[in-house]
Amino acid sequence: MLRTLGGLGALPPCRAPALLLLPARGRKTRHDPPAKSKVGLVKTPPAVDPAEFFVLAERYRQYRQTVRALRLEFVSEVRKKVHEARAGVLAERRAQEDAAEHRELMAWNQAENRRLQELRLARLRLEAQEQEQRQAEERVRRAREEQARMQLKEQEVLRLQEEAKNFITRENLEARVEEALDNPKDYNWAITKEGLVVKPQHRGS
Amino acid sequence: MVHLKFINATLHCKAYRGSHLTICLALGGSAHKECPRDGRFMERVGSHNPLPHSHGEKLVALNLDRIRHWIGCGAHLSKPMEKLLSLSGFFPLHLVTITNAERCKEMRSKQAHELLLASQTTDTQATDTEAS
Repeated sequence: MLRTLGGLGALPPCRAPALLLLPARGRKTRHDPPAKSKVGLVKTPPAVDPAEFFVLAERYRQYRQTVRALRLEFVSEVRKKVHEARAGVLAERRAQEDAAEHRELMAWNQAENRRLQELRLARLRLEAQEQEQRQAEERVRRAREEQARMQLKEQEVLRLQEEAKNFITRENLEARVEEALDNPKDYNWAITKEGLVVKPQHRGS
Repeated sequence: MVHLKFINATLHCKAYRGSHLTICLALGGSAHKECPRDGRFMERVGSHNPLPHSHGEKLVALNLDRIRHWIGCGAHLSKPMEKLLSLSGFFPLHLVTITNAERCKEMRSKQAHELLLASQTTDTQATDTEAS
């Protein structure tokens, strides 16, 4: 039916050209036996008109020849294009340009690195100097502090030595006891918030 | 009543079919969008509206450059695609088109011949009746 309507002619509007219909006709599966009415049947293919067949075969041969030639030409075209892209003149020039650009960029990068290295070295030097300075100051401060401490200690020692002169020893014991008994001290006094010492005065009787 | 409208009708797609690359017609723009025909395709290579529009023309678009490239890469073509290309002049005329055209011409010539014969017999009958 499709042949009479033509390959691209008036197809039914609801369905697209049915290219990939699977063979799904008939009620029977392949395992069912053939019917009794078809016992002595000998299937013969339709008769072939030799002239028409020859004409058709010739036409098919020519068509296929042309199509094959076209296909080979297209294939060679594509291969040439690929070859050109990979190893043609333009590709070589582009590769050279890319290499030159790469070299330029690498040189620039190295120059940048050198510049940054110099800056870094200068910075490190400055930092080292500052560190040295800080350490010197630290040493000076520590020396000063040490000195101050030594002075304090010396003063302590001198004070102690001074006080040691007033200590009570076995030799002074008797003398000091006599002295204390002779000079009684009165601790019966108070102090105000303002710092005035208040001694009891014998008031009244 | 339900109409099935073709908005942008069938497409030509490059699809993989049993590990081969084919340029074939696929269904698109109509109500049935889940056809297995256009499962996976690589590139859209044209469009084809099978319904004639207001001036009685059917529009077909073909990206010949890409078709050349893909055939060069070894793509197969489906039968309707071959017929379209042959009609466009890119490929030699397909045999089915030629045979159909010849059959149409035979039928038309036969019909014309029959009409001529019929008219001739009526004329002879008329002359006979006139003579008698």
